[in-house]
Amino acid sequence: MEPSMIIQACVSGILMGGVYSLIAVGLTLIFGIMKIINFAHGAFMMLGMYVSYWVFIYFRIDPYLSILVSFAILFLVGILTQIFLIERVIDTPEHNPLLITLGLWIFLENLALMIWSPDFRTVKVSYSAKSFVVHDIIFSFPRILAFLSAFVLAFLLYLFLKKTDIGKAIRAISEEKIGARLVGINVKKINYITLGIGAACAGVAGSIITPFFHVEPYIGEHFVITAFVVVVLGGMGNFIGSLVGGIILGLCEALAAVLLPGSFKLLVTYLIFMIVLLFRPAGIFSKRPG
Amino acid sequence: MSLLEVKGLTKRFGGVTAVHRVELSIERGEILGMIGPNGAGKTTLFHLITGFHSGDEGHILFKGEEISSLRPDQICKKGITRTFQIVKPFSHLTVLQNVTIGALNRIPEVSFAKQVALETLRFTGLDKKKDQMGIHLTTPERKRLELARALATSPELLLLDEVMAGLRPKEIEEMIRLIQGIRGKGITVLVIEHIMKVIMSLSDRIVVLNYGEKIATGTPAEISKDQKVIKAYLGKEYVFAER
Amino acid sequence: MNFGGRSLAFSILGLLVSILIPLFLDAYYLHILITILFWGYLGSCWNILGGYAGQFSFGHAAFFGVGAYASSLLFVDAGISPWIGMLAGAVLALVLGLFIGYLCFRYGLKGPYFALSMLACAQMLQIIAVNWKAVKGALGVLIPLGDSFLNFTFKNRLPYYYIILAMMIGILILTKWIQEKRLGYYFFAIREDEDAAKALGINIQKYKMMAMALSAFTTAMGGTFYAQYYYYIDPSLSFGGSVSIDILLRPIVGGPGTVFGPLVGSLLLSPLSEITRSLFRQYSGLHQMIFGSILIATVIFLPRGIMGLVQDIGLQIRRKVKKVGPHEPA
Repeated sequence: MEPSMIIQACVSGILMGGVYSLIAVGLTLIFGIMKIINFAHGAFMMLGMYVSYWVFIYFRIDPYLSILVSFAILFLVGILTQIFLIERVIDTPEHNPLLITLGLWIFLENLALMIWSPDFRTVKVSYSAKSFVVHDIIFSFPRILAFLSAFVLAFLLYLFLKKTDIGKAIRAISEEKIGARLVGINVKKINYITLGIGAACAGVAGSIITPFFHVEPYIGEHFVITAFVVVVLGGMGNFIGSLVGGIILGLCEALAAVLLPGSFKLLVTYLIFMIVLLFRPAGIFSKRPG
Repeated sequence: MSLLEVKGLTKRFGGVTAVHRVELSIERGEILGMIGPNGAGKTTLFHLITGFHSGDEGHILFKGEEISSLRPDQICKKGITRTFQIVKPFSHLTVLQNVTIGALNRIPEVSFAKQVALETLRFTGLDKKKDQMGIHLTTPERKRLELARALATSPELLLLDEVMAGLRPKEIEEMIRLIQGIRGKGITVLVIEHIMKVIMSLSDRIVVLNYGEKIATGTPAEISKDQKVIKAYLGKEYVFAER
Repeated sequence: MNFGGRSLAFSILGLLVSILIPLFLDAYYLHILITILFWGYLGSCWNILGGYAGQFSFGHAAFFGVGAYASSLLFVDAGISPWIGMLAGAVLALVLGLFIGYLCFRYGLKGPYFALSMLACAQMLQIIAVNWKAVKGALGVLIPLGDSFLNFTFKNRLPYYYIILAMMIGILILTKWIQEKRLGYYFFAIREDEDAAKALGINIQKYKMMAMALSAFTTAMGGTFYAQYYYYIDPSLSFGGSVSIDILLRPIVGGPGTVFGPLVGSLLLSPLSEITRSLFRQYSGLHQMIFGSILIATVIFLPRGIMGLVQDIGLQIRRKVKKVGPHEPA
């Protein structure tokens, strides 16, 4: 076990972690506002991937540029989901929004299956295989771009939440819904926007990994769990927590791939999930266990 | 020995001290009223006594036994049952089913529990509504259901949290008679209420909280003349005014 | 147990019909009937935890798969009768359920946490099953064909039908029994309002664990049946996401928290699934899409499921009859 292997793992892990952070941020935003877990999040990501794929095929536009397109389309999808589905069950027992997003997930996943077939597709850009080598450490170029894109979007989102009126309204609602309504915030409209942003985050996360991840209808399945674990790790509704959590998870996954035999890397996510549930169900940033 | 004794009970939430070194005791068979301005810590005290919160300092003794670290369901089994300020009916169950669940606390057999539930419904005047779903009840009916359900658990001490809120005068009178009837069955009652007239006429003794502290205790007559109480409710200007 | 005169009559009628009808059906329709009962059975097992106790699991395939693998491996590798294997699998699933329940319910985690924890558990087991040589990995387990009751293998479909019918009747009786005992009342209380339940003397953790135990145990038995009926299992057939969804869909649509809800749901959805799959074979994923839409539609328009609607209608009718009684003017 050479130290350079460990460092290599760390690098890959952090780079991938950035993508996880982005997906999780969308999920935690939705949870923070509406207190619902969006099971369709993985499907949104999958749609983002397909958007980038088709834009690339038809218009030869690079995925990192067509981010804007997938952002826009998924933003719209998110708003529509909120208007037609989630609004209808927002004040009903807790399990109803869960079931509705589950239903949406199944629907979208299989719609993709029907329209685009289960074939794996790939986006091969000129730099898909490009990489730098620094001191024996390989830096894959597309993964760096993905990380940077995720970072930039997360940063923009952070500014948006901190500085803009809508952003402040979102934060207000996530802390105190009734109070927010009382001061005149249009909760309904903000809900639309939040789901739009959340879905868009997932979509962009999908787009930015297309150069090095295969595109297929069921790709969302793995990422839903990963996103959820990151959100739980960082604390439900905690923006910064999701960012940090994503990096941590990416690191753990990569290190596990190097240090543990076989396909145990896949189990790491679940193991972390169990550990968090056992010791810090409110997230690593919480002060007390329960 | 008092039925319930609270000694030096303190509860803090972050920087706020909701309950500060509260001492009180409830004697068997009495109706103790608890009053105080909003935020005085009354409901928090209920949560503490019934195990929904754990106190930071102090002791709670029920029939001489320390109960401060018990779970809510264990405390109910010991003999203390509470209602909630914002009622929590089992919405998708019938009135009878709601109260039967209360009765099952002491009676494991469903058919017997149903009998007790029916008696309790008759006693509280809800028997005609026994097959109605929780969500279809009016507010006063829900309050009554909350009370009936708690009563069915056969408590020795019943904690009522603002059961009169939102009721009309006639309904309030009925509720007062109901609570007196409950005491008549030998159940001790601790009542939180905002409506002065109700508390004054219902309670044998009253305890007054303000800002988490007990500021007075005594008979209704004594309390109505207590300077600290008047100041807490009406402000300094009224302290020296004649009644 | 409490059976009103009318429902007793219906039940006996239903029993007679279900015993006699397969004698008149050919293999294909018998197969459909078996799938109706099979998914109805699994849905009823889920229903105990989900519909009654209100803890919705999105990963019941975990228990199903444990049952399927346990009995299959014991049979194929050690020659142990699948009947015993069924019991072994059920016990294993019970332990698994208690473990997960402990993790989740300890800090009062419910709702989405629990739903997803179960999903994560199922996925974890799927990954383990794919990568662990001892359980045959992705190749799956092939059950040798045969015709012996002891080996739970039959050439004809008919015995399978009666077995799953018996299991279905068993779970219906269990569900009805639960509904009428304190257990069922307490489950409902937990489902409706945990705080109120606590204040009425109900130990939430204990009862949630009991629901989990019953649900896990019975679901695993269904896994064994599946393995013996289809003669083949693999990680995705046993632990896959679509299995979990198939399990929960019938009770949700049919009526969560009712005795017959899952069966009613299965009567509607299982044939639908079969027909869609055979008619539209070229559109893979269509039947799942339809299921997704039905799930969404049910949650929005029929939140208490089909049986919920039936109960409401029954209540309306009874009210109208009471109002226009025999001694009152119309």
